[in-house]
Amino acid sequence: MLDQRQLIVARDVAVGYRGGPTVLDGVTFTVRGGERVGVLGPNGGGKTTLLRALLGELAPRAGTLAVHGRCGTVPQTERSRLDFPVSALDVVLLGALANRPWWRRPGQADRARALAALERVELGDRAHDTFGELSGGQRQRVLVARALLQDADVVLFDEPFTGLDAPSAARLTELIDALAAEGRAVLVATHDLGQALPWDAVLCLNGHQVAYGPPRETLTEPVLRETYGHALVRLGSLAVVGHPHG
Amino acid sequence: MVDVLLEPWREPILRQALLELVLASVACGALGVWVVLFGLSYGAESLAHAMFPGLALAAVIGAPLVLGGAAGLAVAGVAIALAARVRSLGADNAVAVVITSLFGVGALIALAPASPPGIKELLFGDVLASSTGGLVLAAALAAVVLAGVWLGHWRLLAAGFDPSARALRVDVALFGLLAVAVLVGVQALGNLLVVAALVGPAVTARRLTRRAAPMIAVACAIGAAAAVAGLYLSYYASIAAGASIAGILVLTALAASVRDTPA
Repeated sequence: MLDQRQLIVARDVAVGYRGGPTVLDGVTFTVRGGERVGVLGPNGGGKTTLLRALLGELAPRAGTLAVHGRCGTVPQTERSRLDFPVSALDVVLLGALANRPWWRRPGQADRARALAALERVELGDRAHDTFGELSGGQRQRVLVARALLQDADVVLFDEPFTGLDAPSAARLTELIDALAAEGRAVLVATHDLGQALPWDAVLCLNGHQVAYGPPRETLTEPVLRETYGHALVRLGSLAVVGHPHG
Repeated sequence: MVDVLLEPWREPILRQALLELVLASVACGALGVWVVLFGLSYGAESLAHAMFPGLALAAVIGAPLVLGGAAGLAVAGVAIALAARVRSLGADNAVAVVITSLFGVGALIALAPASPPGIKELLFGDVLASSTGGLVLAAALAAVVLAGVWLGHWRLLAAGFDPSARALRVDVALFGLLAVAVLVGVQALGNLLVVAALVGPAVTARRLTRRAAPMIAVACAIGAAAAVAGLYLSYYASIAAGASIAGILVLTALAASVRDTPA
């Protein structure tokens, strides 16, 4: 059953890093439970900054930003040390540490829930494999399981499709759909316009909010041009983002 | 053969030495895993050397080594912070200059003719000189290290797995435990050789295991086994126990690394 609560409410939010300039401003949007939102924009456009603000790591410099419910994150796997001696199960169990005192260790109940979360992402049989030895898609799913262990109402994905092959990307898309179908709000920072088209909304950022709304109505050529600038290339009827990592 | 194995342990002084070494091995082995995983081996060595003048002074005036070590660390911290402000020096060089200077001061105190006997052992250790009081203190300090590693295990795992989430308090806690572990090992192995007990078993265990918890158990076991082997070597070859143990630990780590290096 879908949760129609407003889980994220942002009103004219401005965010920046300590001692630095404002990276992103004029952000106004609302996300309800069950919605999937693609956060689009070039590198340096403010996507990751917005996710960090939603996680509470950065306080808004202006405006109001309210997240109702628990927030879980699926970061880029490149942020993790792949040579670190942890199993997939260990990584999921790290999700149990949130909001606990530092000396509280995960218990048997957490372990059972972590195994169930791994089953849920179809990695139950890889629980004891070293995280760094899994494929990129499998690592993403382990991090999704970690967010599941946190009982997250809002799940934030940071560039989850980067480096995934087509079957892995399709599997991840199904997982995102399933998370939303359970009533969670899912925000996905991505360069892939095609991935975002079937979702409920897109939030276009380029240092400020360019547009927010249903993808097919929002992703017009002027919006894409303002979002991506010269990185936008037109191939027939298709708008393609060129040099996304440039 | 059995006689050869049992003979050293008929000496009460060697049984006490073994107990002290096992305590040091377990404390250093458990913590050393995090030192190696976090890439802090040079920091661990620097910290051990920074404590040396404080330890030597404490031994001269008869104060507890714990207080001397803590004072040495505080002086080193302030000196590094001040030296790092010298623009032409740079932070990295400041650490090297300060640590080398402090270690030199400590060596001067320890090796001065007027210093009471026994202080030189702070450099290379003298496990055969361990007393019951020293053993009790080592056990208490080892318990502090093990409790810290046990309770902080998952936070350390989280900080190591995602370096961007590694908070300053994690490093501070780790170096605090490191100072305590050095104090456990300094009597038996000395200020110079205690680093081998911290780094050697962890490097070997890293090659043999795939998860942090078994890595800690294996590192502790390797440290304890090296302590036993080192005491045998010392007893039958009449060489210094601390150096024997450090040598075994380093050779074991080298062998494990060579075995694991692709041709």
